[in-house]
Amino acid sequence: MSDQRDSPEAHQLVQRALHDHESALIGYTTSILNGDAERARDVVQDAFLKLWVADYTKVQENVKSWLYTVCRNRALDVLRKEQRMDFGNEVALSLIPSQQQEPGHQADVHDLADRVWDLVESLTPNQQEVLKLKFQHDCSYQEIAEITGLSVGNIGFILHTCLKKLRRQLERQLAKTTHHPHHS
Amino acid sequence: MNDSSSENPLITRYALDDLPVAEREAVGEWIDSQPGLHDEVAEIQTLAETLRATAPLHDLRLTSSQRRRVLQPPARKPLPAAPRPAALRPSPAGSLMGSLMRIAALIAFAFAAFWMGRETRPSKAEAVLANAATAETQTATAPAVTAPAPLVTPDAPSAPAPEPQLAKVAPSVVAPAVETAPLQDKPQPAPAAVVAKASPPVAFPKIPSFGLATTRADAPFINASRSAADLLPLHPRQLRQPVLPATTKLEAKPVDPALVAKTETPARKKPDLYLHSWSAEVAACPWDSQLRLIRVNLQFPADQEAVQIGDANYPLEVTFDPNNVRQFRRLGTRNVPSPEVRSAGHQVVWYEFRPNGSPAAAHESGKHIATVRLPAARFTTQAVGPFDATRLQVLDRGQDWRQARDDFRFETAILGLGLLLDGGLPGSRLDHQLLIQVAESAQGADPEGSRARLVQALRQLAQLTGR
Repeated sequence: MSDQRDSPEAHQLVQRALHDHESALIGYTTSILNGDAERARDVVQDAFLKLWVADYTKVQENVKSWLYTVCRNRALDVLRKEQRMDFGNEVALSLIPSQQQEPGHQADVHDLADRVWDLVESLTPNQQEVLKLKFQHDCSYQEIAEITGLSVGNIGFILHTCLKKLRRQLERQLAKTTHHPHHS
Repeated sequence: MNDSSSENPLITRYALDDLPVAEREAVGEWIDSQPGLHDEVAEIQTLAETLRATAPLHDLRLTSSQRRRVLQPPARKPLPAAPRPAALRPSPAGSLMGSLMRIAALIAFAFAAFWMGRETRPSKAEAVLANAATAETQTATAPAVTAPAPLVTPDAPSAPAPEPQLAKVAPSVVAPAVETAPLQDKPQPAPAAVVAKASPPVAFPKIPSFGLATTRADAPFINASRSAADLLPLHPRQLRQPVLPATTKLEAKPVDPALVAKTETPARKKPDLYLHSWSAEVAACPWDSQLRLIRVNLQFPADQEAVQIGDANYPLEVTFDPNNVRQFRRLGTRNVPSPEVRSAGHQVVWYEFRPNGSPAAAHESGKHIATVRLPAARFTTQAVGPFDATRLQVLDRGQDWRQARDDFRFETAILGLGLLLDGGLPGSRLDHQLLIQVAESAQGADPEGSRARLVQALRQLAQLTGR
C-alpha cells in the first residue's frame, strides 16, 4: 500500500493548512502555554507533522478543528509534564476566576471598547478559551465543541454567560468613568 | 423555547449567526414575538463586533527551519517490534497432565499420518503424471516468483484465469493501470497477471492555462479585521522564458581546484527589483454578486540583475482595509514571462473580497480597498508628482465586470474555469455558460488566437459535461 505522505493531496492539505492557520495556531497555543511562544512553535510544528500521517480523507473536512485539537492536547501535555497545572482537578480550576485584578477600571469612556480584551482576562480560563476561539480564531460553535471536547450546548451556555458578564463589566466601567470623569 | 427571558443561550447563538437555517428562522420568529429581545440581540452583536475588531492579531510564524520540516513529509520510521506476550506461568498441578496430553496427541497424529499415506499412495503411472503436472505448474509460475506480486483487476473474471497478456501490449501504449487483486476464497490455478483494458480515448479538450495558477475552490476567506495583510513572494526568475536545454553533449573535463578557489565569488547581496509600472483594477465578480475581484498587475523589465539570481524572491504585500473589506482570499497568480530579454514580463495577482456594506453601490471617488507594497522594489522611471510611489492604493469605484478591461474579463474567465475544474463554487452562478459569456465578451483583437482557444475549450467542456 502506498504511503499517503507521497500523495499530492496530502501535500496540498499541509500547505494550505500552514498558509491558513499557522499564525493563529501559534497564537492559540502560546495562550495555553502561558505566553511561551518558542514552545508553542514546537507544538504547532508537531501538529503539522502529525497532519502528514493523518488520513487526509477524514481530516480535510475539519482540518481547522483537527489542528486546534492536536495543538491544545499537546500543549496541555507539555504543561502537565512540567507540572505547571494541576490537572487532577481541571474542572475546579476552570471554575476559579482569574486572579488577575480586574483591568480597565481606569479606562476612559473613549477607550473602553479598546480594552474589552483586557476585560476578557477577568473571565475563567475555560470561558476565555471558548471566547478566544470564537472571536479571535473565528471558530463556529461546532468547531469549538470539537476542539474542547465539550458539547455544542455547553459552548452556547459558556459564550452566552461570558458575553453577558462582559457587557455587565463594560456597563460598570462606563458608569464609573461617567461619575468620576477626572480620575482617569 | 418557552424561556422568554434573556437567559436563553440561543439568543447569543442567533446574534452570532451560528444557528442552522431552519433553527435560525424559528428563533428569529420567537425573538420577534418577545419585546426587548431585539435590543438584547443588537447589544450582543455590538459587543461581538468590538471583540472581533479589537482581537489581538497573530503575527507569529514558524522559524524557517521548522517551516522547511513541516513542508516535507516526515521520514518513515521503522515499525516498532510487536511486544512479546507475557509468558504464562504453568500451574504445578497442570504441568503433568499437560505433558501427557501432548504425548498422546503426538502419537495420534503420527498414526493418522501413516494411515492416510497408505490409503492415498499413487500408482506408478499416477506418480509420473503428477510429476509432469508439477513441472508444468512450476514453469508457469516461474515468472510470478521473480516478477512483482501478480495483480488482478477487481473486475477480471475469476476463473479460468486468462494468460498473462503483457507481451501482447504494444510498447507505444501508455503504461496500463494494474490494480491489486481482491482476496479470493478459491485458490486460483495459476497466478494471473491481467492488464487492465485501456479505456477508449476521450476527446477531452486541451485547456490552455495562460500561465495562471488558481487557488483551490474551497480555500477559505480570511477575515480582514483579523489578518489584513497577504504576503506573496514574487520570483523575478519567472520573468524570463526558460532556456531549453542544449542538445549537444558537453565533455566533462577535470577542473583544477586551485582555479575554482580563485574564481569562487562571495555571496552576492540581493539586488533591488526594478519595476516598470503597477496597476490595480476592481470589478464585480461575475459568479457571485456579493463578491468583488481585484487584479494587481506588475510590469518588470526582464533584463535586470534580480532576474538572473536563481532563488531570489521579493515579498509583495497586499494589506486590505478592514473598514471596507470584510473578507478576502487570493484567487490566483499569473506569470507572463518576457518573450525577449529587452522587453517586459508581467506578474499578476488576483483577489476576491467581500466588502463591508452593499457591494453593488457605485462610488465615484472610490472606496479604499487595499494597499499594495513591494518593499525591495524601485521604479525604472522617476516618480513624478506628490503621490507616494512606494504604495499602490487599490480603490473600488463600483465597476461592473462588463465595464472592466478585456484582459480583466479574459483572466476572470480563466480563473472561473480553474475554480470550476476544482469542483466549482456551490451556491454561486459559476458554470460553463457564464464563463463562455465572460470569455466571449473579452475576445477583443486577439492577435494570437489564445482567447478564441479559451472560448472553444469552454464550449467543448460544456458539451462534455452537459452543462
